[in-house]
Amino acid sequence: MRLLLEEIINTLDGFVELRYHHKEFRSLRVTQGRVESTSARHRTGVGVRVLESGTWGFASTSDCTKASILQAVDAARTSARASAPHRKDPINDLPEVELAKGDFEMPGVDDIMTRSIDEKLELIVKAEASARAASTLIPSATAGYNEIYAEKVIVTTDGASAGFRYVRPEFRVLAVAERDGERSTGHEAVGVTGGWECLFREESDKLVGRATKAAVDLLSAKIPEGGKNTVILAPSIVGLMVHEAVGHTVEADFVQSGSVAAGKIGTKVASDIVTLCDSGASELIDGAGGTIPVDDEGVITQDTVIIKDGVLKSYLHNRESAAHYGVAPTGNARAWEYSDEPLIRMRNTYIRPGSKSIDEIIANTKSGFLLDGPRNGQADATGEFMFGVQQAWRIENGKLGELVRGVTLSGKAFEVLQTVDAVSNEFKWDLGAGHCGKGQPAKVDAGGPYIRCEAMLGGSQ
Amino acid sequence: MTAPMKKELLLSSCEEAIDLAKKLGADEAEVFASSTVERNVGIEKNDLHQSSQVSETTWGIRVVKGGAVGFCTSNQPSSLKKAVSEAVGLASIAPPDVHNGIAQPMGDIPSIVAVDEDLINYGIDELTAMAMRLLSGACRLDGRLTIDRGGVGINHQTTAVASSTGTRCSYESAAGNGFLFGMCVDGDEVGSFSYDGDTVRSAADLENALNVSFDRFVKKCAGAMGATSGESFNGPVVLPPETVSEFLMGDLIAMMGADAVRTGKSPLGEKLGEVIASTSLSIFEEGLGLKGFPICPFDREGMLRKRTPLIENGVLSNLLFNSYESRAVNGALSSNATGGASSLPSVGASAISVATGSDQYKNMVNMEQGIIVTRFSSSSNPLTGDFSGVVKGGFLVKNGERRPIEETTIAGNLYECLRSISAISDTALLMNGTVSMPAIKIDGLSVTAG
Repeated sequence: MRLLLEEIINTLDGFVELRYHHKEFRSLRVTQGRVESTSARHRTGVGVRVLESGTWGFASTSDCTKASILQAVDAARTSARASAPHRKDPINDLPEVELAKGDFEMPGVDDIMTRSIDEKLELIVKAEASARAASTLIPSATAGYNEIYAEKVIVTTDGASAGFRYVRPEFRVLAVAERDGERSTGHEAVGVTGGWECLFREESDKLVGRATKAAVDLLSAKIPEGGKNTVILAPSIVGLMVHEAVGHTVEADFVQSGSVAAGKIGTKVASDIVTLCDSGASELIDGAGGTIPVDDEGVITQDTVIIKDGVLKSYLHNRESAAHYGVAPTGNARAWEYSDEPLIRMRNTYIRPGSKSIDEIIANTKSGFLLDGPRNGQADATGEFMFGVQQAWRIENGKLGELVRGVTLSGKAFEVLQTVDAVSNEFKWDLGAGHCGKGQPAKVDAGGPYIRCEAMLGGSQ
Repeated sequence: MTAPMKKELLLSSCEEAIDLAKKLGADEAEVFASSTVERNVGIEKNDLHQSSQVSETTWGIRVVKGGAVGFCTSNQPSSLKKAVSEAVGLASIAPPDVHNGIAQPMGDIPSIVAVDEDLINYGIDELTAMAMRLLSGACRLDGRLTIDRGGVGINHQTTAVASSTGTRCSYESAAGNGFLFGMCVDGDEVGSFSYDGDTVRSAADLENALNVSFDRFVKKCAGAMGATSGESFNGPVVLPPETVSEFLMGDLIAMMGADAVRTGKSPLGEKLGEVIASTSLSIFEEGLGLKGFPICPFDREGMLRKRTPLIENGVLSNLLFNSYESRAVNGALSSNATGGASSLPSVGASAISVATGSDQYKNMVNMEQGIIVTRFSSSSNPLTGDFSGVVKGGFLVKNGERRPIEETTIAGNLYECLRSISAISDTALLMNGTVSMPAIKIDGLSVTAG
């Protein structure tokens, strides 16, 4: 396909970007012993973007022939020409940058793709049965396995010509516990860019055990009082916060729209012990779910330091926003599938680990909560965020106490980051099984160490 | 491609795939296909961002073999055999289930016209000009407005379902739509996000409908400015129509799915016929569509849609079924299969309405102390009904005055909220053609200020 796209691009004038994307998605799900879903989805096509008369035009085709791709180029040009007279702020030339050339191989592709579907189904049938067998209080459980396999080729008239394949497997288990009409749930999920051993660095049995224990334990948990608290966030919650409440606000297109991070480069937005990054690679531990070697504009990805020692250093850029701000692109342009335009998206977002152990941090906490297991989350233009939390343990005089439920965490990201007074030396990627939404999905990951800070805990009044 | 595949051709392609599935060993097969052409004008940063034209045809093949189901989707006509083969292969490894099967056709499907020629003939240049007029109009209403993302688009689609059990139906529709997502920014003050938009079936309605929804959007953005911390109390919360769905309906409708009940993820199965809400509350699955917005007359499995009461005067009267869930409970009527060509049929509502009540909105918000929630971001456990969330846009009403608030959380329980409804407005708002909601007032919620 790279040869065909190169042949086509060599006949075109102006700026044109051709992106071939073949994606295979497989999903297996078992609930209460029944196989609820055995499904596959194949989606293939070429997305075409042109920059003409200072504006973008986009078209796509699922017909990957030369004639059809050229028709899509014409459609994209027609759109750009129709738009150009209305655009108030035309795009000047894109910045020069080292564009990717060649094939970039990602780990685990052959391992996952040559494993039989029977083996994958057997895994979740066993996991679901184990979950229901774990306790008489668990009447219902679900286990699922998904995998995304993709092939991409990005070719541009200004020199990019790159191809790569990747695979992103995921495993998840949900347990529902019930006692005297009260119900609760426990959920564990893992998703990686890589092979089977990477996915199951922690055995599936352990994940099932944690989900069932959480569901049963939460039956006896009470809803805590709401209000401002000292909280220790586990890597899963740290990941959700840095992604939702910081990462989105530093996406340069959003910054230009007036996010809370606008105009704050060089200013103090977090405590001195916070360094926060977004990387196309899987830093510190391999397998992060948002790993890409090249973005969808053909830019080689890098480890972008967003906040260094508490000071805001960089936004996340595509080529257009990099030109606007006069900086180098950071490799954050990503499209979900061939018919989607590349947007500025995060990849693997994290806080760098510190020097204390989590045990030390808990021991030095007089009163507060340890939060683990994100349920969901959203953040706002203001950086104000709200996350659901699966489990929270009260901390009193340096010791973990009772488990509580129904907890949400909220606050304004930069205000919360200013209160960080402890960063642990552990590190974990823990958001690889989720998707980020911004008009189109994206596979991302996020994580970090444990951190201690001040935030608003939602509970009862 | 400037138009989707003709629906007759699409149906023929489904039938060919069924024949192929039978030849490859399937006992039964169903193929759902959709062909779409979309033109969109994207808005970013208060400016035109990009115009686009995309088209695609997708086939979703579901097969039953030996009592097990396999499913595969493809957007490549040349790869349909491979997709059918993978669906049969997936069915071969799955264990059988006596309730698996393909829906039996039921009744004649009426022909519904949902294509306005003027709408599908909109050129990208006309659409771009309209988008810019709408954007300028919204920005003129409030100079602090910042559009993060928005768009105006036309979607023209054909849909077809065929099965080895005799289902043969197809449909053609077109819709115009638009939305804005953004906030107000004034110096260092950044307001919280707001969103609004609409979808219509006719060219004559499009610009006016979007103007109305963008006007609402601007008011919501402006209303969020100057927000300060709220107060902690137990008391009433008023949900305007736009907030009712996100606050109450999303989780509630999901829990009314027979699949959620069967798998133990919903507590509502054992409540059928019981009072679960205030007697003033009635909710309907509007399978025949809401006024002025025709919808596809058949569901994802080709079953004839109908109007179904879900809650009548507070009593839970029905659940939602697709054909599997119907067979699993020995024959309840099914026409609530949802989804598209890219996924197995699931269970859900095609359109939803909440019946209006008798209260005037101005009286509902006349509270001694309470909150009007215009945007809510929450975490919930629909199984237990417990939820807790942040008021992302809202007003504290106290002693006849109201002011915007921030960093305020509300905690409660969905099922208790249904019983605590104290007022429903006498008018409803139709949103995107498929959701009709009045305003709702709920008493006794726990409100915590930061």
